[in-house]
Formats: sequence, structure tokens, C-alpha cells
Amino acid sequence: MGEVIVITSGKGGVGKTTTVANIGTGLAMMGKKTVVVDTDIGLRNLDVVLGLENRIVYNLVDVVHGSCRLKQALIRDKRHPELYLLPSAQTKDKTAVSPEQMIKLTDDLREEFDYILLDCPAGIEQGFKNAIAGADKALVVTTPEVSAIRDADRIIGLLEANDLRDIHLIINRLRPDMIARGDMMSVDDVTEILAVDLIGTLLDDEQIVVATNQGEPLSGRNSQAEEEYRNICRRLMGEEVPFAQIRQKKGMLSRLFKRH
Amino acid sequence: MKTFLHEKRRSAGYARDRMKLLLISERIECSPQMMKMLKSDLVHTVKKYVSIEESKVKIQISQEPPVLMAYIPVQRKKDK
Repeated sequence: MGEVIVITSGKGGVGKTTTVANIGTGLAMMGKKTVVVDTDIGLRNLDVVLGLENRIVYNLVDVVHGSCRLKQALIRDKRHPELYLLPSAQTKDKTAVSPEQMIKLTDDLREEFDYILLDCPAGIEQGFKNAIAGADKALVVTTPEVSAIRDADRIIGLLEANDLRDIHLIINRLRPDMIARGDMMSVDDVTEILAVDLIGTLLDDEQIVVATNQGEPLSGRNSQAEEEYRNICRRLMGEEVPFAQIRQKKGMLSRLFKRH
Repeated sequence: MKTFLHEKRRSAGYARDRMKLLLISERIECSPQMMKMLKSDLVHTVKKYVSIEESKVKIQISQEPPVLMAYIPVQRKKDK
């Protein structure tokens, strides 16, 4: 039986879809049969991040309404044979899916996959309620900014109110130089404010944009982000992986000059 | 060490303090403005019975578990 994990944030643009794509790829590369599901009905985007946009025939709404079989809608990533995508629909009707239908869908996926990753839409509307309905675990993505943190806190409250208590935090777009000079909240600050278990810390990395442009996740790019995504995967599988110290790349000397 | 000493004055320190205050009040559905009113009501009530050092009164809500704590220094009798 697979595990259903929802990746959510409240605020848009903090890196949910990139996180889903990279963790999905990471788990698949570790030999886990993984499906990533785009639950944002009407606004499809996980497919382009993964570079699978040209292979979509059926989508989530087709599956839920019985217009096709589940297996017909799943797209297998040829680069990573254990990775599958269930794309979202581009219908305007956002109420096309109900939480009950999502629970049924995730239960069907559990039979086939080790990990089911749900890319949750931004906001706290119907789409959010659908995405969390069938989940066992939630990864909340935030950045060290006041707006993202406030929304993350709201999301954590809503998850708990829906009895989803296995919640872990990913802090994205950290800037070691800004943290060092006291102009960005640190990992410890954010973790303390939100009071949930930390599972990943990612630097603001331009390689993410490059990878997304090319439609392939970071696998094999040898960046800090790629390594940390792999660590998140290992932590999800129950391994104890220590967190890397967030450090500046520049030498001590240039830091001293900058400060004075 | 230097970074640590300077931290409070830099913007991250402000952000952290603002967020702590805001999120705690949001979690218990009591806005910072209502906290101010609560404080002034508390002061008003306690003052009816004992003299207090009003400027030093502090109220605070801890995170987990949420507990309302009031620090109200009381003045000694002055006629000795």
C-alpha cells in the first residue's frame, strides 16, 4: 500500500510544483514507484515542469468521471521509468471533482504505487480541500518571507483541523548571504515560528529555473538543490539525514569587507 | 557573534518578532488590537484592588500549549 503525500503552501509561487517534480523524480530514481498528481483543476502546470506536456491524452477529471481508465491517463516518464504523472484538466469548472472522488482516486493509486504525491493548488478553496482529502502526510512549502509564513501557518491550522497531523516543513529560497547579515529569517527562525517538524531546506538556486526551462527536474545536475531533494526523499523513507549548515559561498574576507 | 548582536536591529529580527506576535494572536483568534484592550482591561480591574506599576505590565501568550500570562508588578505600601 502506497503513501499519499500532499504538497501544499497556501501562498502561490513558493515552489510547490518544483518540489513535487523533484521529490517525485528523486523517489523514482531510488527505485520507488511514484506518481505525481496535479490537483489544480483548470490551471495545469506540473506537466510542463516535468517536460511531459506533449503526451497528455486524458486527465484527472476524465478518470474521476469514468471517461477513461486510470491507467490510460497515467503518463510514464521515459527518462525515469518508475515515475508517472496524472495531469490536471483544463476545464473551467473547478467543482468538477469532490473530496470523496479524490479519496477514491488516491485509494486506487495506493494499490499501484509506493508514493503518491499530490500537487495542491494555492489558496484554501475547493481545490485545497480536494487535495488534502485523501492524504496521509503533508509537506508544507514556505519561503522565509512574512507573507508565505503567515499563509503556511494558516494552512497548518487547516490541516490539523482536518485531522491531518503528519505535517513537515520545507523552507525554500533561502539566501545564506542575507541570513548572515540579518536581513532574512533563518531556518531556525522559521521552524520556531511555525512549530512543525522540518524536512527540507533549499537555497535560492538559479539551476531550478534552468531545469524548469528545459522541462527536466534537477536529477544529475550536482547542485545543492539536487542533493537536498535527494535528502528529503531519504527522510520521507524514514532515514535520519542530518541537515546541511546553510553557509555562505563567499570567503570570510569578502564578508568582512561587505559589512564595513 | 557580531551577526548575533546585530540581528535584532536588522530586518530579519523585526520580521521574526512581528510573525511570532501575529501568528500567536491568529491561532487564538485574538488580534493584537484586542490584546491591547485586554491588557488595559486587566490593568483597570487589578487597579481597583491593589496599586500596580502600570508601565511595567506585560501580557504574553505562549505558543505550545497556548497560555495567557500576565506580569503585573504590585507596589508596596508607602506609609512606613
